[in-house]
Amino acid sequence: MNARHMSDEDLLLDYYGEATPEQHAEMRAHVETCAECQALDRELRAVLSLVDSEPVPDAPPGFEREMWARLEPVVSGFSRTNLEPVMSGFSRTNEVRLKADTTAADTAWSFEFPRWALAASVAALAVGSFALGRVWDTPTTSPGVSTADVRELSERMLRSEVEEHLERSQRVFVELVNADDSAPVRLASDRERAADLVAAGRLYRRSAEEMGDADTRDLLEDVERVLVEIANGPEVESSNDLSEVRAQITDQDLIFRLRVMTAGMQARERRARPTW
Amino acid sequence: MPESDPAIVARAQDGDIDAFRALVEHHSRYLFGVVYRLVRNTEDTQDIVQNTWLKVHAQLGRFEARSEVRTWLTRIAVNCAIDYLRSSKRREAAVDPADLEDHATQATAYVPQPGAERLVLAGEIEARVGQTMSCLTAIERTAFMLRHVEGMSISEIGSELGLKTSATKHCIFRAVRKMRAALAPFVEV
Repeated sequence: MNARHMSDEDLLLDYYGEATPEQHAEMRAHVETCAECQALDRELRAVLSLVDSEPVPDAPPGFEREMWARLEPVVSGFSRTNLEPVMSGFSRTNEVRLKADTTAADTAWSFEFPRWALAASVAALAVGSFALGRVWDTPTTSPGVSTADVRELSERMLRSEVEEHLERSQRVFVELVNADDSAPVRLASDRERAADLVAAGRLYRRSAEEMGDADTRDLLEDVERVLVEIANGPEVESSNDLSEVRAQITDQDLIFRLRVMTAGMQARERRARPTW
Repeated sequence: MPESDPAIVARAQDGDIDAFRALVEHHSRYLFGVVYRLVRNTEDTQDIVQNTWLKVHAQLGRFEARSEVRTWLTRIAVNCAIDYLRSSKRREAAVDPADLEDHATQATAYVPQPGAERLVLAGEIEARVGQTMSCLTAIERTAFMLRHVEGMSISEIGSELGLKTSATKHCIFRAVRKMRAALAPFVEV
């Protein structure tokens, strides 16, 4: 009998098949005859089997379809004619409509182009050009257009969309704070708007993070928390339910902070504008 | 007969957008599970899966036909999750494992329970596993999950994480040690 006891590390490597055949044979021979190592081996296996018992939440229903809706505007590079309104727009009206072509099992369908899909496109463009600028921070050989120009344009597009996003969030909050709650308040349309803003806001937040803009990122994070509450709340809220959401808005000074942030963005935009 | 994954990837490499869509629809749910185990947050998981697909799209040309599509996707998803964990300020906001060990000692020792009580206990165990996982550092959790759930070898994990084999082993050892401490009251030996 091998007198050397097994360490938990030896046993773990053996459990995962990382021991050599010789080490494995030696360890098994020892464990069979050593009560102490047997107990340790059993305990280790029991712990690892408990880890396996942890359920992992399934993706939300329709996750694949939503994922594709998020990706399509980006991966198709805006090349499809049915996305032309997005190209021409980066419209501030959010009235762009998408008509998907008929592929696979889909029949003709249409829906309002969601805010987050536009956000995905703009954010990807801005972050992509930001990264491009970091890697190749020298002027290109193309006459009149440098990498810095592309980056500046992309960042301005992103700022413009973020500004619009912040204004829309502010409107949702102002309406909620000022709603007459003497009777139950209907929030169906607010929920829809909030859900759209949540999805777009996440993408903007990540872009802000990638671009090192901590202030915008933090504000978007705080805004998102409240929007999530609204989006997941009931369609009709009592004054008690509403007061919780209102408290979150007012306690964090969200409306004021949103105003300050958008005013700052507008001022920067004015300064950046050519003076001709 | 359904088209094989490598054939779909080949079409996507030729610019077929519907082929790429098929990949997204076939594998997104699986990738959600892979990423969730690492970041343990549904919303972040969704964003990371999205980033994964953007990277997959950008790297389609690098896929080699002899590889397994799902393994390739998993690697990209894991790398996206690792990038996220590295950049996230939350990554080291884990609770001190000592706290968890304190709680562990207060838990009742496992004894076989009938019916409803057993279900309650199962719920407690799941909660404790989840809590402990969240308390691991990002690198410990990632190394451990890649070994334990994804079945990657320690050397593969090391190369994904940019760690030496010995450092990778130690990450896994530390993770398992913490799991043992937290789950000891539930283990009947």
